[in-house]
Amino acid sequence: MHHTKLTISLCILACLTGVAGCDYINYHPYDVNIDGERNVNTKNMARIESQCLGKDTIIFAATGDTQGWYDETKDFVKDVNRRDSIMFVIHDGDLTDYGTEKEFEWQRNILNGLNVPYVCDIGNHDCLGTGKESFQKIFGETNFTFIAGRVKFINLNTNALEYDYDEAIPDLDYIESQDTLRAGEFDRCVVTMHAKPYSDVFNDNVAKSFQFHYLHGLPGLLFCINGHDHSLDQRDIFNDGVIYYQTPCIEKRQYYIFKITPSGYSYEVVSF
Amino acid sequence: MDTAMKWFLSNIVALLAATTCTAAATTPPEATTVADTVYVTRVDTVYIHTSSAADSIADVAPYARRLDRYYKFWGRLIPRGVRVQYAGNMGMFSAGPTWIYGKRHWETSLMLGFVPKHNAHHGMLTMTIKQDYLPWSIHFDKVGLDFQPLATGFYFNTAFSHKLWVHQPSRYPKGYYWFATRLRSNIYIGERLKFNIPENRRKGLCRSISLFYELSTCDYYFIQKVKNSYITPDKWVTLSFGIQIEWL
Repeated sequence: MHHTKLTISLCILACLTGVAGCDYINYHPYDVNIDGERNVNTKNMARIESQCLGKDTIIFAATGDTQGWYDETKDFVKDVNRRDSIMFVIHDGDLTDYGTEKEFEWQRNILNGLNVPYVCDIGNHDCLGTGKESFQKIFGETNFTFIAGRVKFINLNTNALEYDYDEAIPDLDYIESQDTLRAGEFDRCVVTMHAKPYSDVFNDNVAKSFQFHYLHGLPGLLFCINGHDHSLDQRDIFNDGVIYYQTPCIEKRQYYIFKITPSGYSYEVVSF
Repeated sequence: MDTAMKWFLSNIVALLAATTCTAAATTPPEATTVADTVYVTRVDTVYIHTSSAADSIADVAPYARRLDRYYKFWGRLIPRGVRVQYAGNMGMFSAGPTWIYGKRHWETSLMLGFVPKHNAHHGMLTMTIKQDYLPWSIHFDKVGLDFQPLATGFYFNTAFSHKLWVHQPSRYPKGYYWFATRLRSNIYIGERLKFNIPENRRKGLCRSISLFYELSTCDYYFIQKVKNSYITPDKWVTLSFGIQIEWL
């Protein structure tokens, strides 16, 4: 009798363990139970650095706000893949609508279809619920920097509204540290972020010092890239010659291709 | 009613009513008087009314009726089962009492569950209120089995975490997010198999054990499914299992 009970218990346990591995079992949308690849940004930054090493012209695509638009994101991946010139892709945040772990995984799985490496900024929606934890596990740190050719890409978390003073957002000390970190390896800088200064989630109180003290402190600041507002826009917010290139949400089926040459940079907006 | 339940109800009423109890150990007849105590036997309960021997049954009846109504009302709220569920966007395991009513076609359950820590900073406790509807039951007499080919309903789940909110915190502009991260709405369909235990073989309160499975989805995933062909059933549908033990 005891053997029967034990056998039944073990069978039930084995069944549950078996089905727990299948895609149909979910404990909770905000369960941070990650399947598949982690530290995507960290790995891809290393790939970008090695692939762009010694190159004086850098060509990359920028998109963002792909949340909830998986079909469009797939089409974006297809469109980027048919252009051989693009060396990497920057996603400027809002991979998810609700910050659930599944949404991050679905977006990661689609973006992993890119032939070139990509990195993702954190968006305000990505911070919801346990989103920050999922983002950090799947993608990596929310402020991160890499060097492509001789251009330093500083990618910032600017979603101050989502943090309630838990962390310094934007992390001004982090920006300042990038002035000199790996000083001999870069001459110019590009800054990417989800929300631009004076948008609803940015800490507007520090907007001017963010721009004039910290961004201008970076050697050879070229331009900034941001998302969040879902519309295509190019704006010199501070009238200082630094343009904020705003990517539209992927539903608009448009993205940027930037080309940085030794003498300057150019961009085009691509529709797909 | 089950013998144990009858005993319980009788004792509660006895304790409420008997202020200077001189109760006899044996169950008295229909209505009788021993010294200054009046015993009234109704259905399956003994009321003990203590006063002078002059009090008649007519004086006792209105109060007994009120008591009767009182415990019948609370008696209706006694859970008639308990349920344990695995997965289903309400936690890894959730468990709680079930109320069964409407000719056993309708069920309401309140469950507490937990979400393991996994890769998060901490796990979470969850609470779910679930409404079920079981329109049909196919009875197999020989084996004492009931097959319920359709169980359907909805449930609301909340998770206890400081990271989630029902009303968005005041730092957000009004109506910034249209959804509440702490409150999920789910719908499901499923099936059940109920094993009835013959009366002479029942142990404790258990009169039947049901096994069920459910296919469910929550609002978050369903909205994305509607917008995208990429969101295939393995992404928006969730499978869960459970067991329900019924008494009463």
